Amino acid sequence: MQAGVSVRLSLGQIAQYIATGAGSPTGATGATGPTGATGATGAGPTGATGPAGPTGPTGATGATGASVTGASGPTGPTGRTGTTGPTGSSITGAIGSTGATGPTGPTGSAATGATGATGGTGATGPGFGGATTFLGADVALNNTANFFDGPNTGSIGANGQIWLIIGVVSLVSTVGANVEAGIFNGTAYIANSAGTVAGNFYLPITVCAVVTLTAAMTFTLRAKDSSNVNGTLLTTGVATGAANKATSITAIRLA
Amino acid sequence: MNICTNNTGLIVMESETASPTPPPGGTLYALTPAQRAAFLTLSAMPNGGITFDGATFSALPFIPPIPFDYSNFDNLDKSLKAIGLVIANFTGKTPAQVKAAFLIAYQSLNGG
Repeated sequence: MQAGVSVRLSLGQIAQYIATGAGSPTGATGATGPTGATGATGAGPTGATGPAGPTGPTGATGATGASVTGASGPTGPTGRTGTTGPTGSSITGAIGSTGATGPTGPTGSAATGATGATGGTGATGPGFGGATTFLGADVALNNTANFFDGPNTGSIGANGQIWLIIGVVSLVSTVGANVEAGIFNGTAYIANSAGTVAGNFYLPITVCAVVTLTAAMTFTLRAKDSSNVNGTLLTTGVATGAANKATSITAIRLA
Repeated sequence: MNICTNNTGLIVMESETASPTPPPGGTLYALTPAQRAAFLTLSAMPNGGITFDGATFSALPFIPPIPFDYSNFDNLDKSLKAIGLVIANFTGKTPAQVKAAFLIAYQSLNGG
């Protein structure tokens, strides 16, 4: 117990303290004292040997040694057979020219030979075509007794061919008139029609026919003014229309 | 293109593919592309026909159609002419007198 420090004890504690000495309370830790002076160096025993150090770097390459050729050895065994080489080029002579035609053989017997095989289908024939011819200049229908020629087809076709012939006339007259149009084959009319045109009005007439030719023929479109001499077969229908397209004849081969 | 001229050189037929037969004294020409172009250009303009001499096209002057004269009784339809004859018969006038009377009456209606 430190001096100057008062301690309150219960009676029990006092009794226990008296009896056993226990129960006396521990005092507080005292302050750290000043650092002592450095002691003298002691002589210690020698330590054990340390471990081996790492392997050192590789040394420089040594100088080339002197060559000493040995004696020749014995000949080795024969090597294996090589692979087969490519086929060599063929050298054939040029084909000779065709020989001359032999003499005519003897006349055969009268017996009829067997029917030959059917030949292949022939090449496709040319497609059928057609053409149109237009009137190039107005035709004055100035004679009521006559037909006047318009455009024609030129010579077309051949025997047995079938053609469609179409004629279109555009007519005008300064006075009312009965007019006609027809297709003429050089011998007869194969188509004909008629109409009445009022004064200074236009009138179209169409005529057509399918004909089977017996020979090449020329078909001509014709027109007639039966009433007076004032009719005109027109090349152009109206001033603003297509030029030279009003009157025409067309031929189309059908078979 | 083929064209046919008549005996005066007037082009009377034309065709792109056909070969029409020219009239007596005429000629069939097969045009070159340049000639075809020249012909079509010329024919598209008003003309009184086109001539061709084998090298050069020439357009004839365009003559416009004569206007229809409605005042002339002779230009009328046949049925109207018949009415005029009936009038002449009923009135004892001659056809010429009826025709003259028709002209006067027609002109009096102009603008009406």
